[in-house]
Amino acid sequence: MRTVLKLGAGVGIMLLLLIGARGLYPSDPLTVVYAVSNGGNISITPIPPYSHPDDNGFLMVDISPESPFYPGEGKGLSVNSTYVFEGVFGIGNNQSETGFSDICVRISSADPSVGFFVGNFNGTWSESVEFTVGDSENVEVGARISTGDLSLGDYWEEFTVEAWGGACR
Amino acid sequence: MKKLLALGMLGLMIAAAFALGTSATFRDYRAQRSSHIAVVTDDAELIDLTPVQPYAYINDGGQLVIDFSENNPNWPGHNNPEGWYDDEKNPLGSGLSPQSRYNFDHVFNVSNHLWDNKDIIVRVTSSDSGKVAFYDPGKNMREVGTSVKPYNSDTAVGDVCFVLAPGQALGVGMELAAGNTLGDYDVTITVQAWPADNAPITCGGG
Repeated sequence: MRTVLKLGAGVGIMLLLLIGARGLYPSDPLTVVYAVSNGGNISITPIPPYSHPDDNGFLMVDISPESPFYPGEGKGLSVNSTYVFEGVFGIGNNQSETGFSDICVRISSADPSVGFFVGNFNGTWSESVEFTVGDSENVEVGARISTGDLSLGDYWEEFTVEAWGGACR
Repeated sequence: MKKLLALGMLGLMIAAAFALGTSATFRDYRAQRSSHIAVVTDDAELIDLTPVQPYAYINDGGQLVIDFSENNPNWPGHNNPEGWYDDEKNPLGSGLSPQSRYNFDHVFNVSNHLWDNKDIIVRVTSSDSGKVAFYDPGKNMREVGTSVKPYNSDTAVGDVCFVLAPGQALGVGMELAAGNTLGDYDVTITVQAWPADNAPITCGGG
């Protein structure tokens, strides 16, 4: 009698596993763990030359001579200047991986000198942008960087990429 | 048999935890990514401004300054006071006289060192075109919105534009008109640039 109860519980867990596995990852669970640590649920694609994958394969926006795309001239941005770069990186939604035909993505900057916008620059930007990405769609995100009264030097900052199922409200 | 079942269930539960964990990760997906931006001097940036004449220099803050006064570190009297001061200890050659006009070809260079190999349109605007205007003897410059080419002192204007191919540079010449009275005058020069195929201004047109 006790054994039967345990078996019932085991079946319940197995069903959950199947739903989870089919919705997110068709392949084996080991890949799952790797993909998650890599942020692989949604695709974040660096678009050269102003961003590239760092040593861990993570997107890095890099406007310095350390970028692999640094052509030998134009080392960075100057003091008191504003630069707008369209299409610095792309965010994609593959429904077979996310399980959603629409996902809502939010990108927020921890640094007021870096703002983001979607698609072509029309004069507006924000430290935090939210947009919907449909199935198989790839949305290009641009960056507006204003050095204001920063002094000469190197600046490392972070920005956050968040996503959830369903269109943005 | 019982033992095997228990072991299998343990495995299942671990696997389930993985799957559930990952599905929760997507529902609340969050990742930190980094940016690295080098703030550099005006003469080393993507669209760089390089002093060509001694009247222009890069200051301690990394910004291009055009300075026709004894405050300019390139004023020869700083290193060699002999002959650069008059009997009353006034600095010589330290500025422009009232109601005079001076022309300087190629005071500073603007160049296109963007990494994306695109032509750009550059616009240079003076905050006071009556005091500072721009020209290029090589006739590569246009007045913004017209096809007029400011190429000398008489044609210099305060709002000019030009196209730069990747790696190309253009020297900006300056026409200075001093005011009627002695004193210091500050004029701000604004440099803007856009990709040539997507610029809000037209530059020439043939």
